[in-house]
Amino acid sequence: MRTLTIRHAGKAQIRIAGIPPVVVACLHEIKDILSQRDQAGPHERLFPSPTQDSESIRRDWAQFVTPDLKHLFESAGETLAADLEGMEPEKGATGFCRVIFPSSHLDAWMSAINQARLILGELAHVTEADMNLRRPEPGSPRHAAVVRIAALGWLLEHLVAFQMGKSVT
Amino acid sequence: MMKTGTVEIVEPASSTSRSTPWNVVVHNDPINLMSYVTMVFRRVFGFSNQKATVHMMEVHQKGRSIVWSGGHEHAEHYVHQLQGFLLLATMEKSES
Repeated sequence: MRTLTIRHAGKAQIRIAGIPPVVVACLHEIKDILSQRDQAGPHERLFPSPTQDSESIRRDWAQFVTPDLKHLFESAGETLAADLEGMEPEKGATGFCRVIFPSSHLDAWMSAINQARLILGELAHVTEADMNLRRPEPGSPRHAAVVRIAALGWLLEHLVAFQMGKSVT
Repeated sequence: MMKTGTVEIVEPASSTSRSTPWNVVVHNDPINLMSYVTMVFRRVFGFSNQKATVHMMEVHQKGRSIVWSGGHEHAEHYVHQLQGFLLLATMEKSES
């Protein structure tokens, strides 16, 4: 069993080590999850209307802001996917992995991971009550989504702590 | 006293008048982490950890929090940034 650690490594790089097998599997799924970004539920969640109080703001938003957000989200996904190419197994710890990526990619990692969580949540219609589940039901697609959302959320918590300057060991 | 031939036009205030204050509102959602929302508030608005946590808890417990109020252009800018961080953010005309 390895403990997850996130540290600065070398010149402007971040090293995540001790990534557990379940999180590794979820990370490998992210590219496929993000490809469902444009389905109705996920699209509405990722690109919500900015206001009910002005048709002109909504119109300008759809024309100028939504494409910008779409590019931002797609870039984050591509950055994560490229960095995951360098993920490698930890020696002496079956299924655990580590990865090194540029420090400038940290926001992209958090974005891509969070996009995947939100998309999974929309596709499976996950509720607040589901997220507080203690015992997932076997065979429940919604609860299966919750497990993946939670696994990715566990990594995201660590990345947030690291971003805010806290030690992650 | 107006000069001969000068016409003064007074335009009615529009719904996007620069003088109308707007609220930036963050809404609760079941997926976003509390720590992540707090981080976003600190980064976008420069809030202290305490202030960011107060707003995050308001979102979590009351379903929404007004995180900023002011002119509509700035409100659009903040909503853009918050949505870029995947928060459920909107803007609404202030009633105050």
